[in-house]
Amino acid sequence: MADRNDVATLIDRIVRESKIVDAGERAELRRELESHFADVGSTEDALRAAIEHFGDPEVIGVELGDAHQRNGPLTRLLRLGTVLAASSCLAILLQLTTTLRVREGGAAFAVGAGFIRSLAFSAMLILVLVAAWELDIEVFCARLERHPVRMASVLVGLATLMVVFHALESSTMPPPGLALSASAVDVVIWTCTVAILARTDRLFARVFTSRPSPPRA
Amino acid sequence: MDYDREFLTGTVGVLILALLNERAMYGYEIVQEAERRSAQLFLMKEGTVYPALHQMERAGLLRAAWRDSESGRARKYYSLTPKGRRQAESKRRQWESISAAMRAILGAAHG
Repeated sequence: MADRNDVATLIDRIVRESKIVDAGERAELRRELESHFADVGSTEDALRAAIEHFGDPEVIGVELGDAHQRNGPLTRLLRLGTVLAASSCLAILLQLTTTLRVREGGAAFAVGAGFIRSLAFSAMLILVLVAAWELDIEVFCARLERHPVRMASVLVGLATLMVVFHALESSTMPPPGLALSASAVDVVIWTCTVAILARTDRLFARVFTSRPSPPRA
Repeated sequence: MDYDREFLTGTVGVLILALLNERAMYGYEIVQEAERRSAQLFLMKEGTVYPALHQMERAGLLRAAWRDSESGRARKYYSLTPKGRRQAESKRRQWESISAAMRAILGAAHG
């Protein structure tokens, strides 16, 4: 047989074992656990079964403590730095590859005239994507390669943007094919940046938590 | 049917994401719903759900809010964030792929 005191003892132990530093978070955890046991019923048999079925309070407390561990600002900076460095390297490589031209005479290579502008646009795109990922703005965070219609829309949207900017700047219209191919490079940078963000999140979650595996069933 | 609990290791997160992809739920409701839908196959230790929920909330996959239920009692409801919805979709695809591969292997071995 069990009563409310046994439930309170169990909750006390879980909260204590969690070693959560923040008093507000501890109070909220306690409230949530109390709410759980209020749901299971009020008879002694129901409470006893619920306590037995709840699991080892020590293990649960430690897992809750792990879940509440905070990543320090240095870890967050390192994660952002990793993403920005990887995405930027990729953008430079892609823009170099697509704008590299053979110089007259064929003796050497040179980057095309629009290289710096393309690179600046890619850098801006990466910054927008990283900010959107941090703020969880769905429209920028989706994996474009899994949504062909969205990918096509982004491609056309970027190409249109490019044509408009070019027209405003030089009062001439760039060839649509050129705008589309330049935008295709930015679409690749977009998909790769989102993939890098997702993989970096997973990597950091694995490295910086003491209990990386999911809780047991 | 008796089953090896090892099979269920790592499935709690997938289960939670799949259930919350339908609607917001509180911890006890998630446990009950998983048991009901699996015809009592997933008899989770109820306490294991809370660390998973808190971990996923911290990872930005879930958001939690206290709301009064129909009975008048306040409960902490969890719902998926956009990031959580993407994760739910990704996990569902992975699970279906693994499941199809297992069926193909087991079916071939059996046939």
